[in-house]
Amino acid sequence: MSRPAWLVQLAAGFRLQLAVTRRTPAQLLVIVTAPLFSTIFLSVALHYGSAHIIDVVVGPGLIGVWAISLDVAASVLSIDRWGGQLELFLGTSASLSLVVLGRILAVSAAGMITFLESWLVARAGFGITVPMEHPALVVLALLITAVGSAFTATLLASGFMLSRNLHVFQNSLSYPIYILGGIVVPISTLPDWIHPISTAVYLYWSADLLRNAAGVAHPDRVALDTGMSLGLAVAALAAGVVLTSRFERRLRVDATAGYG
Amino acid sequence: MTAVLARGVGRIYPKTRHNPGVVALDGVDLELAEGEVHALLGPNGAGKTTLVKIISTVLLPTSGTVEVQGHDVARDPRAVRRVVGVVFGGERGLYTRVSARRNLLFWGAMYGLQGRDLSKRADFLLERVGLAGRADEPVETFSRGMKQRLHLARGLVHDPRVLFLDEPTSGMDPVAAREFRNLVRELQSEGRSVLLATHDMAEATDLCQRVTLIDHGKVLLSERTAIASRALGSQLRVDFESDDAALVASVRELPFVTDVEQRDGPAGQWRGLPRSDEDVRPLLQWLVERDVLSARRSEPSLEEVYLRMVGARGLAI
Repeated sequence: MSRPAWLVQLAAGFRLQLAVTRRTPAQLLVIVTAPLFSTIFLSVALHYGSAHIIDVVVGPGLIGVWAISLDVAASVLSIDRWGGQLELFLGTSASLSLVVLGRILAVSAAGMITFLESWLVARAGFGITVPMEHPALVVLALLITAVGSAFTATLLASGFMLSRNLHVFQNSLSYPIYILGGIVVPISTLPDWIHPISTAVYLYWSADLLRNAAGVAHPDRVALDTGMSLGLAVAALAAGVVLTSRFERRLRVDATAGYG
Repeated sequence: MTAVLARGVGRIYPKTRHNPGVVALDGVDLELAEGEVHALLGPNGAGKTTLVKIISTVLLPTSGTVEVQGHDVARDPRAVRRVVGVVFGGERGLYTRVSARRNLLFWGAMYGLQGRDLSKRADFLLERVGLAGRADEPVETFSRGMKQRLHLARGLVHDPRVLFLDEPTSGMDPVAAREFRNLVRELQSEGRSVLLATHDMAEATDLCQRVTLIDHGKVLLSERTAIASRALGSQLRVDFESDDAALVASVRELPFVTDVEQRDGPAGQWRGLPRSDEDVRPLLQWLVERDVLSARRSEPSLEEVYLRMVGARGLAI
């Protein structure tokens, strides 16, 4: 039985990125640095007697997934443009946004390892065990986080292509997003005027979802967190599809698909 | 049916902050017949690649129309993409970190292939281009010739009837280039149409039934390869070998000869230029009567036609 074209293209992008990443392990450098972040964050939190230990354990995982997704989102189209693959892609009828999404999903999925690392660092290094009241819900929350990261990064991928200084934009979308998402310091410690902005950042809801899914905060908010995470992610993907389609059109009109 | 029919194709690259703007194509007409191998010749920046990109829907024309097997590239690009394959020269377009097989599986999926059909197609093409034994090795470990064969397999993954080859043998060693040309002949024998953008005149002469020469975005010549030299008018010559300087001087003085020039290669290789095509016979006869049995009629090569029409511009673009 033949699969729908969108799924074939998504899977092809996913498999391609897995193969590329296997030969380019530097793309997963975040997995190496995540335990260091966990150690630093936990040391600081314990030193000051923070009541938000769960935030400190979840934070490095979210940072890892977002950083890895953002890195591929920023580089995938740029590398393909220089390498001539983007021009050849325009000669096919496949959806560029689906392929980019498939490629980012591959690294987002790999980035989930950072959550496990963070959990292990907390347990082995600091004797802190994060309770897992609802393991199935935690797995669901992790999946939603990975998908949300990939969807949001897909929106940014085509936006990055409009800039000649994409690494500047890439950097500016890392720490500010961590702060707005409340994964470095609790949102409650930030000025009130930031709070509405935070609610428009999917990481804010993903972090809340992970905390609540673990059953250590407000389990009754899981539905709201899930809905908001998925809603923002789907909205980002929809915008990404539209933007990428316009971007493809612009490449054909302006002849800027390649440098060769 | 005509494989490709381009009429009055124009393409202007608009002025930007970083680019002064340029007319890349200016009213280009081109016809690629079914089952034909057609050379697209011209210097760097002539507009060859722009034309190939327009025909393969990568780029939109500013004016004019292009049909590929009856499908308009602007109005029905999806239909065009199903029947067209594009092959670049060099490393561009391949994912070099991954295997040849992974490259083909990816690009096959982009053309709508999937599952067992896609795997079989990839295996078939890897076998066909002689890469089956290295199918699972990273492309970055391949030689230039191997990469080019993979490019060809990539261009054929969806079994297109029309192929565009953009300088496919650029940088290849002679053996690899010869193997590649044999593959192109095989493709033609299967009824495929091939548009070959190249700088290699010998390749164009060897492979192509028709040549189109473009420069500054305009077509200077479009003719059957065998008679392309007629574009230069009356150009029959007589090539001969002689170490006798007095004899060469005598040829130069003949009333039906305009000049004698030394040919490239070893000493003693000469080319007599008759006043007209009718003067070839008397010149041949004159030489044979003086025991110059190497004398033979010749026509300008495609390279000479190219150089005469494009002009000696040196490194200028």
